[in-house]
Amino acid sequence: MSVTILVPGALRTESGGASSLTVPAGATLRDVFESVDAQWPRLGRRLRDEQGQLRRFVNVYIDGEDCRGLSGLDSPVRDGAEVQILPSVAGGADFTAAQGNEVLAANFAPWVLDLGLVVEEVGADFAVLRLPWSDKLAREGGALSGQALMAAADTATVIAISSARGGFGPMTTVQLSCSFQRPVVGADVLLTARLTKLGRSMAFATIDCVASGAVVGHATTVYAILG
Amino acid sequence: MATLLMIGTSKGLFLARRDQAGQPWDVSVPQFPMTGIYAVGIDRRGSQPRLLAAVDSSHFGPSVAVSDDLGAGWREPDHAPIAFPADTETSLARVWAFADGGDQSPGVVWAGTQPSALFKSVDGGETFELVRSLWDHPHRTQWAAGLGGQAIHTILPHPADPDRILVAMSTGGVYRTTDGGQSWNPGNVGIKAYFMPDQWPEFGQCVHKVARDPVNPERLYAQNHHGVYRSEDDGATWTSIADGLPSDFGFAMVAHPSRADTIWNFPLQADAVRFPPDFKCQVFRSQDAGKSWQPQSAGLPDGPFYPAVLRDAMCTDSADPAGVYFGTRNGEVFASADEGENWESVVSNLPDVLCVRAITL
Repeated sequence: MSVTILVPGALRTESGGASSLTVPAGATLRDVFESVDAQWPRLGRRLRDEQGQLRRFVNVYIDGEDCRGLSGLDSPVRDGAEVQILPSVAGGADFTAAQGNEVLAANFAPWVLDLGLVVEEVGADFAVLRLPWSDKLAREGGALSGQALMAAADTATVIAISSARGGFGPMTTVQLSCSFQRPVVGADVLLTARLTKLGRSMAFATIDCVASGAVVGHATTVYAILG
Repeated sequence: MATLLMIGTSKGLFLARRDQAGQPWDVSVPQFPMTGIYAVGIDRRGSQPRLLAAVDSSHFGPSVAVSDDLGAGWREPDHAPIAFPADTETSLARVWAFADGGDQSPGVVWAGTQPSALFKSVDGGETFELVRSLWDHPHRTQWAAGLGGQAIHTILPHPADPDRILVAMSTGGVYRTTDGGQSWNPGNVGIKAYFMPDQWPEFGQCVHKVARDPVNPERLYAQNHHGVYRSEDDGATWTSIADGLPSDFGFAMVAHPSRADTIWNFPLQADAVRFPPDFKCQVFRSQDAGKSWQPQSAGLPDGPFYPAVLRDAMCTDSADPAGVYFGTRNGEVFASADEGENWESVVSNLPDVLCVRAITL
């Protein structure tokens, strides 16, 4: 009843030189990492941060499947499984808000750029974009048009995926659904796009839209990652 | 008199050593290769100097290593030496600064981090704890990020009063405690934040580096994101000392190790033009606490010079006359053994230099 962990060369100083370790089988990848923490704490902290999150540029394959395409740390690990740790070749590609704005400028249709979106913050699995208020975006009645909010949510997803992957790559919207909860009049909207799952070929995100401190809309997106 | 120069770069730590001025420098191979060394520290209080290095792997996260044999060997604890407690729901991104707590606080070492937080060690820098009072400060949620991230990059304990500590962050500005860290107050009066609608806010300034005068510890010098300032009251208020400099932008600010009123910086043209003014490699020194400035470039490259010097990539040693050192983003390190009058190249073709610290042995 055990799991084999394959340790990359760069981390063997933390495993006593061993290229593979055997730990007791656990239900999930998280359980496996907790066994690593108990026996090889310095190896454990190279793989996960102090909040238990897998480090962004550490890739983990369970029997050959990227855990991020499964259920991350909640991925089931069978008895006898092989858990391979590999440093990502994208390591060090810190994706910044400034790069997010460069992705915006370089990859979107002119009318989307006309929305004036600004990337305010990016993280390992999220992006925050500001949609500045403009009278040009108002529909009859003076409130922000839903089309603008949907385009902003769609765009925020692209930035979140780019941030998670360390850079922009070809991708396309498969599904976008948006609920409009409150009208927005004369206020900027902050959109926080958070990836709920990022696999090799698909990404899923939820987008919270907030204006003047109140939730004004909520969207979910599904993306296909191409190439 | 031997000198050891720690050179933190984007791809590892280099140690340069020479037995006396005038001799060639012996530069090590990279230690912690392929890691960013954003901060190094030297704690001179023990019988052996202790070296600290913030080791930042883009794959495997940040850590802190210490050496008690001048860098021949390094060690790290099993458990993360600097870690945010679970309830903060925050993860350490990078360590930006070390400072020892002074002779009155043996064993105390401070660390400044990204995101902006202060950590305290009582075991000489092997394990640290979050300073809750600053983390819980009501301003914290309004501190923002500069281009390098949001971090506490400067920690200046008062040499005579262990209850008084100054920290500086980009952005956020200067914060001070006078009660040993139980409470913190901003100290930015007089520092302009040209990039904000209110240009004279209580906090939110982008202070790049602060140095403390060795003789008059109430006197401080700050290089700001546009603006060079002096304080006469331990950071409560600031006045401009930028007149006489070719630009008020830059990152580094260092004070003489033992003589009053003597400081160095390395100006850059502007926020949006981060080249040395006139593309000339020049250090500027003031010997009258910033009332006047003199360029120093003897021995520095003559031709057009484009690299910048980062906030921690300039330092002094503790010799008399003082040695001054700076490293550039194109991987060259320069040294002066006579307080900046004459310069020589220590090493070139390194990765970009993030920080330098020197110890006179």
